Amino acid sequence: MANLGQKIIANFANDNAKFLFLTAALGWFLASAAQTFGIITNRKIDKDDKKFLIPQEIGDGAVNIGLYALITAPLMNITEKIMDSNVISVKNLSKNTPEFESIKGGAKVIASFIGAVLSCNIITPLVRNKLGTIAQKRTLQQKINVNDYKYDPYYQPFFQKNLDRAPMKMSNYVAFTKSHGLKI
Amino acid sequence: MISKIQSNNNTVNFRALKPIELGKTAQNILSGANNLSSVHQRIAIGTSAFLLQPLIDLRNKEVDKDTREVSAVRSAAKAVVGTATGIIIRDLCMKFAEFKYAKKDAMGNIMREAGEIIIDPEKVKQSFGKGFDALNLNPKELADAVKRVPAIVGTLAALLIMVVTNFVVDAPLTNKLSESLEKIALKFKNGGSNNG
Repeated sequence: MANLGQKIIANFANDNAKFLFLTAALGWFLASAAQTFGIITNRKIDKDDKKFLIPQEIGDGAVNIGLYALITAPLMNITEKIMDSNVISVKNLSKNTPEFESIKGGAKVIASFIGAVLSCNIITPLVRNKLGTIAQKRTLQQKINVNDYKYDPYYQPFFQKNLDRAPMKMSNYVAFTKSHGLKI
Repeated sequence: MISKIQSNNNTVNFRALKPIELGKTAQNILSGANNLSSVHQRIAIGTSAFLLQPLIDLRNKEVDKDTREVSAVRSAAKAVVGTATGIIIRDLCMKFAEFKYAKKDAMGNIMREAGEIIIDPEKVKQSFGKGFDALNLNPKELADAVKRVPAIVGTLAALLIMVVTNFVVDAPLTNKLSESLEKIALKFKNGGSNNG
């Protein structure tokens, strides 16, 4: 009886396109998990800033993996269906042969590459730029709101409360944006 | 290619499409593509990232010009560093796995064919034979799958290693390269404005 590890390796070796698709998604997940762990354990980042940065990092990872899967998996399925359909014929080769299975596997690998390039390098950066702009505007608005606050010596508790809610420091934001989103 | 189009309901009759015939060259290219590894995948993603992402950042009209330039420089640096470390670590892990499953002659030397290490199917079957038995593959499929095992094992090992190197190597190197590129870009800009 084969154990789980043996089954996984054998299945991956038999379906290279599926393996490349899944490991690219796993790469995104591990990179995102590592970045999130880095933020959680970074003592230089304020507790309040972490409340903003941790969900943002998780969201960023989810957008990367989600868009990648949403684009690449259907592209691979369509390629497989086209190869099996009457639209494609293979010269001097029957469609039931192992040679044809190898050709179909190669077409799926190319489809997975195209899906990865489309999603990771065109669609995701466009979406991330849009989301980043929204986040930047919100942070800026928060900063303006706090700067507008007028000190009221007769209302101590509220003042204290506002200090606790100070927006993310720009130094932390820059440190975060410098390292996030690295693909492994 | 389209031999007949049904015009009564404006739809294409797919059964009337003349099939696209894949010649020998196309067949060889596609068969070869089935053996591409995660290194090739990383090269494809990394090269296109280097060419496309800075362009997308430079065209992001929702931020000011300086932010656009800084993010474009950073995207280029990320692509260069991420691709370089990704390729090196994957390649090293895959080479290590190839040595582990390499066929050896009577003297214990690793056997090669056209410079490539020959994979010993028996060694692979010793480790994962039960997994392959469960798949019931025909001899050609089994031979192809066995050859891909070092790439699979190497890639999985590389992924685990890269969780660490992402912090230890990628992040600091990306920051350093970004800063250097920003300085070069600034010098270039200042030089350009002085001349102008």
